[in-house]
Amino acid sequence: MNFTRWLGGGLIVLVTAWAAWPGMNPSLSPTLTPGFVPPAPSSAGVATPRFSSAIVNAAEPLRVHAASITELPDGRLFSTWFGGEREGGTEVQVYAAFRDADALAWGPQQAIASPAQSTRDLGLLVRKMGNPVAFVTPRGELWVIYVSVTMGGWATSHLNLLRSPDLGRSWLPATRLVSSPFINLSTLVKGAPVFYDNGEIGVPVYHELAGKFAELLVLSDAGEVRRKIRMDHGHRTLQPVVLVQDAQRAVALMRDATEDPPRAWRSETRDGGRSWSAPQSTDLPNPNSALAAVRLDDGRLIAVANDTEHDRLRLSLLVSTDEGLHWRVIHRFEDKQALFGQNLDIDRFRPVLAGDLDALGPGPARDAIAANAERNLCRSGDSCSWQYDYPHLIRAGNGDFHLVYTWNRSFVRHLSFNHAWLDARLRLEERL
Amino acid sequence: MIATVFDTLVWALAFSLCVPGLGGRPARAVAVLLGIALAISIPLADSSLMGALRGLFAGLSVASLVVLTALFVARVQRGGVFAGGERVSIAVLATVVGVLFYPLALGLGPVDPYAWGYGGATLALIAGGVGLLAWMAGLRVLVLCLVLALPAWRMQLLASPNLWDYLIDPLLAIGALIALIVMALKSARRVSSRPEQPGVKRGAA
Repeated sequence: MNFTRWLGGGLIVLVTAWAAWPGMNPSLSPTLTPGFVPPAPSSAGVATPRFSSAIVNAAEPLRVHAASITELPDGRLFSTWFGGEREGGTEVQVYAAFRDADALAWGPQQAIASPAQSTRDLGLLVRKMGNPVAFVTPRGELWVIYVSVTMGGWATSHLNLLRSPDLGRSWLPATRLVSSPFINLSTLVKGAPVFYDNGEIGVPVYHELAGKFAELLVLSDAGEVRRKIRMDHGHRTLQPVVLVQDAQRAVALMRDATEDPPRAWRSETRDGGRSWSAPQSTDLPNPNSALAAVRLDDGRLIAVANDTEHDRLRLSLLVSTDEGLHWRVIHRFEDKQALFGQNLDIDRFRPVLAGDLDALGPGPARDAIAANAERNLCRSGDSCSWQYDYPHLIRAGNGDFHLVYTWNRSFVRHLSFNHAWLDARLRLEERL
Repeated sequence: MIATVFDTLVWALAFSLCVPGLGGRPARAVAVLLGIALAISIPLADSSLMGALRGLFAGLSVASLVVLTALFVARVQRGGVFAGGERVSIAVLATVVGVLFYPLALGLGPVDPYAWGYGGATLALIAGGVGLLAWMAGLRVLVLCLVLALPAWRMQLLASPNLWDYLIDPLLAIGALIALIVMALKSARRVSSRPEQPGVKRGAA
């Protein structure tokens, strides 16, 4: 009896030691956090200011949202978004399109993920599609991480990973990312990833069930979840955007979930993302809406955000010289703030909408854009209101900036501008 | 693939426990178990009942598999699996861990215990230590819950890379809480229905 008891005890000790060994040996531990890869300085580009606009998606489906954009190694752009008859509908799919390096217009859209495909790939039921975020990994694969739901609202979301080793020509079956202890519920994605010097990928995500807080999900370059780092707790922050300064330092800007006061949040890390400071409120108004940002070569931050306290009637370009604490507007991409509180009837709405269409650039026919916008923005024909939201901003290798956002719930608008155009806005703002 | 087979087995065990008339009939019990496993795997539309369960409840833990297997075998054998008081010990442990762990892991405070499960040694050592104590106390099912989870995690057999997801799941914690309540009610009923001993007055000092 005693022998059996000692043998069993010894076996338990051996199994425990074997399981715990990688965690005790720092060189084997997957929790060892390396440093960030700072953004590479961009090439100077042309000196002439350049700004262009295009619509990324087709007129069908009716409603689209949550676009992201990435540059491929060959200079093409890739954008992805979700679209359907209504947000949260079971017919919603994740779409994508490419734009050639020197083109202005986007190529045809194609569905890359759907509830049926996800159900097949994952071996479990998926009914709804949500935010997709696209990026190219250090190994040169094109990845799309997208949200899906089996039952319930966005608070019961899961994350899935689609990988394309040939930059979007074909896609491997989607895999599920396990990121939450409670039935793997409630992790969503919005921001662009950061990269570590050991090849790991930090994906800014957020949690919405019970609490609302930002997190950083770290994946291996093969798409396995390595760890998750909480950037906050409680009920105040969503949709983090991480802006790397050097191997150890980064700033995160976050959507405000409290609306009291409605201001964007910021947090920072000084240890390569292992820990994050308690979020502090910035002076950037935020009506509980997503924002996007990038770091310039000189250390300044630029952001695209709804800099309002209510509604998403304005989308602005802003600059910060103090790591995101204070912000100044340097340009308005969209501005219907003067109409705040006014629900226009259809007869007053149509001329204002028509005035916007010319500036949109290549895309679907003008009539189709107007028809979709009208259907999405007007309730019963007597109450119409605009909406510009969910920006996603990147800086390409040639120094150009690419912004996509949801234009009036109906289209993905792509704005491109170069550093000369940005410099002109920055100089103008400095003179004021 | 392993995760799918694992989840199918766990759910088949759970459903099998709801089937009456399996006591003392091991062949019938195994047939019922396999039948349920097949039935929930039958394709329905784009998915299956198993796909719906996995979509709704994600993966279940190794501890759930061990507990359900023990309950199933105990049911078929009519006892002899759990040591005296072991059911209560497991239920108390799963309830306490669930009550402490899930609120914190869902953002109640600044400490995130879920982060401890990603590869550090601490949680694995604690699980092994509790397993060792359970072994010394003769709680064999609890030992299996804890000690089988460790190699499964080290080999990453299930979908999750986090040790917590091998040790506990919300359904186990909720089931444990319900089991505790039921056991407490049964115990209270037994006490109240016990006949008074001759010569002893109830309430006497």
